[in-house]
Amino acid sequence: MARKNLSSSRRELLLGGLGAAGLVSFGGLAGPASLAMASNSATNTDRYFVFCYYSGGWDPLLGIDPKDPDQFPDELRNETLLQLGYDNLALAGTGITNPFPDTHDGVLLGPYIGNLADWTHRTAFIRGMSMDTLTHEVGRRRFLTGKSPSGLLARGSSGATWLASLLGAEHPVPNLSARVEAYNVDQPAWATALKVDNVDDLLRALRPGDIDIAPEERDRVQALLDEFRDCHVVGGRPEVANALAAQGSARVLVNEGLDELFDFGSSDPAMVSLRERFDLSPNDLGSPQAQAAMAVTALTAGISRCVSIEVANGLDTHFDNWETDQGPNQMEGHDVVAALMAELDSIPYQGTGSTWFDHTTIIGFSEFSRTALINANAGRDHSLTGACFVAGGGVKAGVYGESSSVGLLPQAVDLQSGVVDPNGEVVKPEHILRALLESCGVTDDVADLRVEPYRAILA
Amino acid sequence: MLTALLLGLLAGCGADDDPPGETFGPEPIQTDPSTGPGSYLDDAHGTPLGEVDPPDPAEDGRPMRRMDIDQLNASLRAVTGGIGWEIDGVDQLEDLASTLGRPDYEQSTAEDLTPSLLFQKFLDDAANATCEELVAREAVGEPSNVFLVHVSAADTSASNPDAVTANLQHALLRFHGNDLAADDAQLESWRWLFDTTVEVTGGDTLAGWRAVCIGLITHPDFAMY
Repeated sequence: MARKNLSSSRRELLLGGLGAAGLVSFGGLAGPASLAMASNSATNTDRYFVFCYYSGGWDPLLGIDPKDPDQFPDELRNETLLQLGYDNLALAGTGITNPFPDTHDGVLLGPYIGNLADWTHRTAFIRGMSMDTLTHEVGRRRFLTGKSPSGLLARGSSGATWLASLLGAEHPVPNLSARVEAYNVDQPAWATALKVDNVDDLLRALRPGDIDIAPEERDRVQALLDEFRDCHVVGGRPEVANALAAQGSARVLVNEGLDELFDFGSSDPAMVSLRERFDLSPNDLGSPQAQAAMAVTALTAGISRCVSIEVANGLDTHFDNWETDQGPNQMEGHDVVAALMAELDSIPYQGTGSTWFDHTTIIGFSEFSRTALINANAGRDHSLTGACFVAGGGVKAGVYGESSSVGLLPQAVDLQSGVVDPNGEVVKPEHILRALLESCGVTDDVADLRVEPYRAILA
Repeated sequence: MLTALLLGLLAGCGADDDPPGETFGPEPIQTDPSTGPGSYLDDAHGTPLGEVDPPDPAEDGRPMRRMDIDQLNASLRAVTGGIGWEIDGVDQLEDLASTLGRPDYEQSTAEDLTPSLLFQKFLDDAANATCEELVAREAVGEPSNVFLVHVSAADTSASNPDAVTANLQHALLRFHGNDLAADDAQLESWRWLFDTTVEVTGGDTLAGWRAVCIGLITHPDFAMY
């Protein structure tokens, strides 16, 4: 199957449907936000983003922030407050033969880094962050929005929503999310994520229903609903207008026939080849592999600007499942992300001589990391310390920051260089999100994150 | 032409307003401005508080939200007399509940109640399927009918206008809880939907009623509050 892209006329058609949704927004544009939008918008618009969520709280010691066992031997754990536990890892059936960290392109990476190690030269590993929480929901929402939640309730719009909003409404589904929370409190309705649980549901959303009425009958119903919508746009309830606009947009999307792009289970040779590249089972369209294939397709076919996917789960290893599950589950996620990178890097970008990976930033994150010491149940509990990686377009590869050599605590860094500096700042998710916004040319703090960007990671 | 007619019918956009003169809930307490709070509690500008204009209802209160999936499923079955959106015996709203925002109590504990594009798409599918089955079931005119109560398949606005009006009144009350008089202007847009669908389908009144049913279910007054 030839790669299918939206023509400009089809985009215009879609925008006709989606534009109505953009006329009003959920709750409207807040005053400061609308002013910010007017004074600052993305100037570097050839940018795309994939947020890759590792669910459960990963252990960076096994992946992106390992420590050298020669420097931190178990005998000194009362001094270092650090217990690496690499010897305890159960390797049977994992395909791993060496349970210790290794160096890749000059960067020490954990034993379960998987194929992500092949992309070290394109990746910024950000270590020694602080997530300021030990609660899953709070950590996840903190990273997604760059703001500390109120209790468990997210405050502010997701970074993906901001990026989609600032990069414009040109795409039919600017913000797509599979199994990852998404928030929109102050951005236009069209920037709200289309949230699905799996690729099957996305397919169903893009296909006509099992019962479809005659076009002329449908047209009459649509005309009636359109008129109701227009009334509410003018002076009624914006939520009603948004709901009706979303309904119209859904019909436009169905009419586009986009579903065939995501039919990963089909026997089409192109789909068979794609399944091989992503190690994707045709019968499991809820897998991280299917979500990664969905992300690539949505970006490269001109459907989305930002895609959020869950690439790994089962990482909340408080017990001896840390020895058996943490590594393999984490590595599955790293392998999925590596496949995503490889696919993007194989597709030329609009005849520019660059690839889609050169224009796409991939962010890998979890809600927090795990304790430096192994608990009485042979597992690791929640740690305030965080780590993440950012790769691809606009990113300067390297290692930034460092978790401390005593207790793996966050450490302040110089935001310009990424070097540990007691006079610097402890990096938090909001520093990363501001850097992503700045990579699009948005220099003002439009999202009210109240920190400086982590400029060290930007190319 | 048809659209122009509809525009005329909806002119003023009052279709969702409460009927004039009708109030819901307890009667407001009437106070005499000369003895009420306004006579001795003035705001900083000297305007008696009792004379301050009330806030615009559209700006007051919480934003509207949609039903959760359980409520939607129950409502759908209630208005159709037991017909739900099922395929091969599988309840589709249950099948899609996770994607439609029902919490799993692992990653999420609160249901997402935004009327998203995805929700609207599947509401559309649900309306098509249930209305198809509802109209087919009631086309024969049984006493147990819940939708085609005042009309037969032969009735049109030309042949039996009173029956069509009565059935539209019944449908709007059943689906939206909107009790309209026979001459209420809000009824006209739904009559337009029935009449024009019958016209474009070559006189198929059942198609007309199916369109009315789909319109009622996909209209936000059904699933939002």
